[in-house]
Amino acid sequence: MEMTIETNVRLRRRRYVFVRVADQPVLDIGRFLKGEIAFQTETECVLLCPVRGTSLRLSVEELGLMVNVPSDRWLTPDEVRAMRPELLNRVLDLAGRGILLCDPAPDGLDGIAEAEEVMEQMQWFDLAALHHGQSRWRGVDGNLPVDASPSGKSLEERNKTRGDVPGHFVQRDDALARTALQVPSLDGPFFEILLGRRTTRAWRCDQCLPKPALEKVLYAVFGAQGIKHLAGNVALIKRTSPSAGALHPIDAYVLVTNVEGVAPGLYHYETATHALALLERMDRGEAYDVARLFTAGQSYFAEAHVLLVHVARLDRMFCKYARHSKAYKTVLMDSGHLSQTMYLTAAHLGLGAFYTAAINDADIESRLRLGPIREAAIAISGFGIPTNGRDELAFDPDPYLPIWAAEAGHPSPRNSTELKGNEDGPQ
Amino acid sequence: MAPNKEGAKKFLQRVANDPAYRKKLESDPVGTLGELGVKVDPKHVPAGGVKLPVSKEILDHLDEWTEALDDVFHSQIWRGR
Repeated sequence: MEMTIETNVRLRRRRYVFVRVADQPVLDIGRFLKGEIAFQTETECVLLCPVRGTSLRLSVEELGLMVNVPSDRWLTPDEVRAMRPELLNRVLDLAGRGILLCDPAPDGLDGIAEAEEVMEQMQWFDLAALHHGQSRWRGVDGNLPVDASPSGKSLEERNKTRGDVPGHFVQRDDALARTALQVPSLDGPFFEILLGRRTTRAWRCDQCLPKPALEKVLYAVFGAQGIKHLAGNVALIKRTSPSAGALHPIDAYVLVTNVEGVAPGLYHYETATHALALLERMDRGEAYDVARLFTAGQSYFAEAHVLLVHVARLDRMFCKYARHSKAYKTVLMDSGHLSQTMYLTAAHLGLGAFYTAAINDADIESRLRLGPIREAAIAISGFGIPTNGRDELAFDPDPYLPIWAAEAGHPSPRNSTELKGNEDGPQ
Repeated sequence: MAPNKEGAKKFLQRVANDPAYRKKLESDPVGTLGELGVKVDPKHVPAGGVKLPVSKEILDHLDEWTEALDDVFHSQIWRGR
């Protein structure tokens, strides 16, 4: 975006500046104008914006210009106007492209300085902020071919460019010894549920999910089972999943598409009261469209009866773990824990479930009116009534037993030859 | 700076499919490319006039570029189990 900027402005460098320097293939314009199509390598600098997730190209010369503008204070309008005309034009051009910050901000570039202040106040770890900002999706529609696995030609093509997929089992060549372990039987209700966990992609759209199933999943996974009050208003929560520092920064936003007695729409699950707060009412078709947008076009997930958006309140986490290099990672792990608990709860109830990080998080955050920078959609879980046996996309693996157990007489459905050094048993 | 991959793809598509744009580029390459943020030194414009690649050739290259971009996109989602 380029625009003309008045000289009566304040300017400063961004406080969060990350620049990628890469050699990129670009069209050779000179040869193109002579009728040839050829590419040449150009060194490209790209400023990576953690606030908006944009990538702003700049030349090596512009990079030098940018770093000479201070970030800890604004250049006053008098200082801006005092620049040599040629320098002024180049600096204003950088401001018009969002590479430098400008006050007042040009159209479409407002809010960046304020967002940087929020990031500083929240004490984001800067590299985590960069990853977060640059990994957000808006309007992605996977429109993926509906095949069961990335097999055949697509894998061959992949292997050509990136090498073979690393093997599925690992054995260390430098192991000093190996100790065979007994393979225990996983009997009993708990292990039955654990072994029954699976991802579902086909749903009984003709049946409504009973409301008690929704209530049970929400309470079992996102409900508070305990509370510990600390000083002031600070309290720690216990759920059925672990959370770093017992902070439990992740809330569930519920997209109901097909539940008996609950209108389709977007809700916030209020942990304190075990209640659904309606944020947006919609009909079932609209709810499906929203689910499809949220899951980046994964229609087999959008058809689930309920979607649960894992929304992290990052400010709660960073309050304790300020500028902490592990804090962002723990937020992602919290979401993973909640997902597994939801999978097991769904398995216990005879429901299907899924979990995906391939989501249009930027669209979700806008739709849910979340606080920018402070809150973030991390992933989506979903559950509902599975078709049971009519899931063309189901992952249906053969049973597996560790190869030593198979050699000891346990029935093994397939004869794996991929483990090495074990023909004579444990070394 | 030359256009990046996405920008170049759109530019080539337009040159291949839009005769009016093609004509404009042939008559004023410096100005037309300048609108895209691509600075062209006038001395690099062929003295005998601009001769653009034929549309078919452009479209052949477009396919290669599209495949490269799609590869990045499709590899992003591997389904969980």
